[in-house]
Amino acid sequence: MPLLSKIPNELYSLLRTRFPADADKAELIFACRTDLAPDGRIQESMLLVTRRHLAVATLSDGQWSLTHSLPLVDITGLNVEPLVGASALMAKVDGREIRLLRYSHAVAQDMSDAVESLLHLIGPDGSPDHTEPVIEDPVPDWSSREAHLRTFRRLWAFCLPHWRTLVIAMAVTIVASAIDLLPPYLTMILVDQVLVDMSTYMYLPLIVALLAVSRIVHTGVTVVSGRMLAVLGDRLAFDARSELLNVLQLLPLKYYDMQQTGGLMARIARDAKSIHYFWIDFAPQVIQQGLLVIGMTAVLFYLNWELAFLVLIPIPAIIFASIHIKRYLMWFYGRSWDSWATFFERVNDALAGIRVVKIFAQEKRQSRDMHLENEKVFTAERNIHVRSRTVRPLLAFIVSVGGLLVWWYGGRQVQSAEMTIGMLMAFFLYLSMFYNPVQQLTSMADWIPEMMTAITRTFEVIDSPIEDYTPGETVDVPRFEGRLELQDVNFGYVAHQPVLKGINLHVEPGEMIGLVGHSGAGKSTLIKLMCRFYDVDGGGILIDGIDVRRMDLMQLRSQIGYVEQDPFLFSGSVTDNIRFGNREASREEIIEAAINANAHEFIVKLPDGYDTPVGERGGRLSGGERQRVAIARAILHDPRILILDEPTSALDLETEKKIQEALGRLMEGRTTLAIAHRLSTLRDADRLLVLKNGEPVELGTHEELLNRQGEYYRLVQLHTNVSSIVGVEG
Amino acid sequence: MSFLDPAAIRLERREEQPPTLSIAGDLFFNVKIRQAFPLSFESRYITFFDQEDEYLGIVADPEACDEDTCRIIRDEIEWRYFRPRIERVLEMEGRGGTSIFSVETDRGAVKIPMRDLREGMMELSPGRILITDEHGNRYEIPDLDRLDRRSRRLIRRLI
Ligand SMILES: Nc1ncnc2c1ncn2[C@@H]1O[C@H](COP(=O)(O)OP(=O)(O)O)[C@@H](O)[C@H]1O
Ligand SMILES: [Mg+2]
Repeated sequence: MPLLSKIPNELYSLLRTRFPADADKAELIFACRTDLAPDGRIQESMLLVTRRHLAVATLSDGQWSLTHSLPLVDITGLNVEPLVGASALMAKVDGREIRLLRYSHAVAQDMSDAVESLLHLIGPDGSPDHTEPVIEDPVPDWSSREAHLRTFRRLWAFCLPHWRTLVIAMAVTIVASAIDLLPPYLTMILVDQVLVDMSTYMYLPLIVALLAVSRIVHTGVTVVSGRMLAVLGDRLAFDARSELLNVLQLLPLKYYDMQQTGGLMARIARDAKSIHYFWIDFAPQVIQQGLLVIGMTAVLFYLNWELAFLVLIPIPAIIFASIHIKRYLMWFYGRSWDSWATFFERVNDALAGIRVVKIFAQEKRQSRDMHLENEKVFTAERNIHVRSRTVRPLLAFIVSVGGLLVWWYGGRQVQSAEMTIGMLMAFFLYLSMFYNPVQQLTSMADWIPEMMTAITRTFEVIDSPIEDYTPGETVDVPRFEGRLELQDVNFGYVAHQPVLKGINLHVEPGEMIGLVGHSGAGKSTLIKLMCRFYDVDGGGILIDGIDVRRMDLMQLRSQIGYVEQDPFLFSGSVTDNIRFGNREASREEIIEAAINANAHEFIVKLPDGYDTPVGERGGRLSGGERQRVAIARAILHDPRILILDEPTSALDLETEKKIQEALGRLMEGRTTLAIAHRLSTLRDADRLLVLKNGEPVELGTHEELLNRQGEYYRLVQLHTNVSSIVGVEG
Repeated sequence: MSFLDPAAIRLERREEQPPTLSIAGDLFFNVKIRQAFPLSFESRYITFFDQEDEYLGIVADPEACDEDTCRIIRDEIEWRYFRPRIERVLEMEGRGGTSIFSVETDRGAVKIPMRDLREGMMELSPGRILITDEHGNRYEIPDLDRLDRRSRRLIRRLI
């Protein structure tokens, strides 16, 4: 889908009139939608590039107008200026900075991509003539209205493998609704013909038997279809959860930055279930009740068309009302879902951080906070229920008007002997059944929106782009030598708010580099880039001369070992954790790794030895123990490149020594990048890279840098001073 | 070398005393013997500690030791690790939030009180169940399928 189709026609013709000179070249090659006008109003705007011009268009009072238009050849530079809460796109023309437009963070990524692709079009050397129109990557927008159709298609794709069950279950459902139509008709025959005439009394048992049979068959059929659909529904919910779980592992780290884990859990728990509801409750109900309504309408008309008309009178009112109710309630369902998600997040957080909570004696406040969330859930839920309980009886009232009409008109017909009593009875029996499905259909209006939102959200996650594990052409590097190059690395978490600027570094295999800098200097960020949790914005990271972006992600990460500051252990046994990166490891290898990590002794002293469960996040082990288990894990993983985030917290000297020893063994023969806090590590490092506000300021050995008396000198001084005050080792 | 050579170690014991270990001629008195994998691999990976509880070493395959040593290791393990194996579940009754199992184990009949069934029952591997009661005692069902039908039904209901 080319981006061009998204341009409003009006704007398109405006462009054509504005740039008649290059009429043949007026072809739009680029368009990017933004959300702020140049003057900062929240207003749809567009950055447009034709083969000759760059233009900015803004919508105001429903009219598109061009606020800027610059010949591409005159533009010598384009850059983004971070503002607070927004960014600005600037163009350089004749040495002047021109403010083209502003945009919020919502479109920051799009815009920085846009700027990147625009850079080669501008200036005297620009090459717009050879540029293909930019093709938009269609990112599915699940929130829009048309998305509902897409959701249905996805739902259908989900149950396609089970279509046989589905067809049978539906067929059975149809039979059930047909049988439903029988009893009132039989009743009419009974009242009007069998009971009034002695000669037909013998038919009584027959009719009763027929009634009984129809009840029995109906019950059987309902059980059968109910069971089939139940199994199918659970199956589909299972499938949806499986897909979700798969995808959750594969999404880029960026995704988890944005999403709170609680929200994701709520999604898995609740939303996948809605696929189940759809197939088990919703779809069969709609079909069965729908058929029932149609069948009964037909029978009613057959019996007495005038009366049937009266029955139908309230129907338009019902439909009208239910549509409005649906829209009305939709909003409240959105709120309810949000409040649930926050609630889960809060509780999740509180439980995960329970130790912190207790240490800081914040139980009361935490409880209060959670209660607050609970209250919000309460309010949101109450809003929905109170409203739906109000509108539903009102609907029922509208429906009952039909009954009054039948009494009045049918009663008169019976009085004037135009209609038999039996028929009036049958009419009422049908009517009582008629109310039910109509009401049910309308009350489904309640949860169509809820369900659709949930289902849509499920697909939203399933269809999020996962990490690009294998870029187009991968270079196979089964075993790194360990040569590491950072070439002019630039990076920012938020588009164009650089966290790392122009990092250059060349590391020989087996060399150990210490990263030093204030908190927030970008040390951890650099490490995340190494692991390709994020991609660089500019420059490149090369291992053995190959850009990491050209490597298979799995292959890359399997050769990088990472010991975090506060290592995360998974609940499971010590064994499970040590062999996390190498599931095939034998017990001998596990023990060997633990011995090298100085972990073996403490492990075998635990009552359950290597089988000891470490608890959630390793909570049953001490910090030093966790650290050593993590080192054992890294040793067993046998990485070629080791990344180390030294713990800042002081451990007792004994443990400290053990960890140092273990790290020493781990680093042997591996290229190591260490965020160093300990003086001992700093001294041992072959070279130190000092970062300041994301920029490299010094590079050299411990001694060299001390002698220089620069940034590093100051950091060490600060550190030793602080250490001597709080009494930790230096 | 991280593992001890089974041929180089020897255990001896005098009546009812902790055993004495000799590793390539060095003697250690009152040694403690522990399993490295008490739940997942009991027969192998045996570790030794001296009377100060300092780590001495680990043997991968104790079966390769001489017969006496081997027997002492088994006895010591038996002595250190108490985890009765459940052979029959007789009945289960609920009493005010606590469930009580009456069971027969390889170490005799016992009543197991459990407060939280979900926390207390852990399936170590398919069919192998570890039960921790409200006091922290542990019992094991080595293989659920080998129990009689009634016991199986009682347990299956809970996991
Ligand atoms: N996930 C993130 N999203 C946005 N900004 C981040 C994220 N992680 C870190 N930052 C920011 O990047 C900067 C560098 O952080 P970091 O690399 O963690 O510093 P260091 O490890 O040197 O203390 C900080 O300003 C921090 O606020
Ligand atoms: Mg950090």
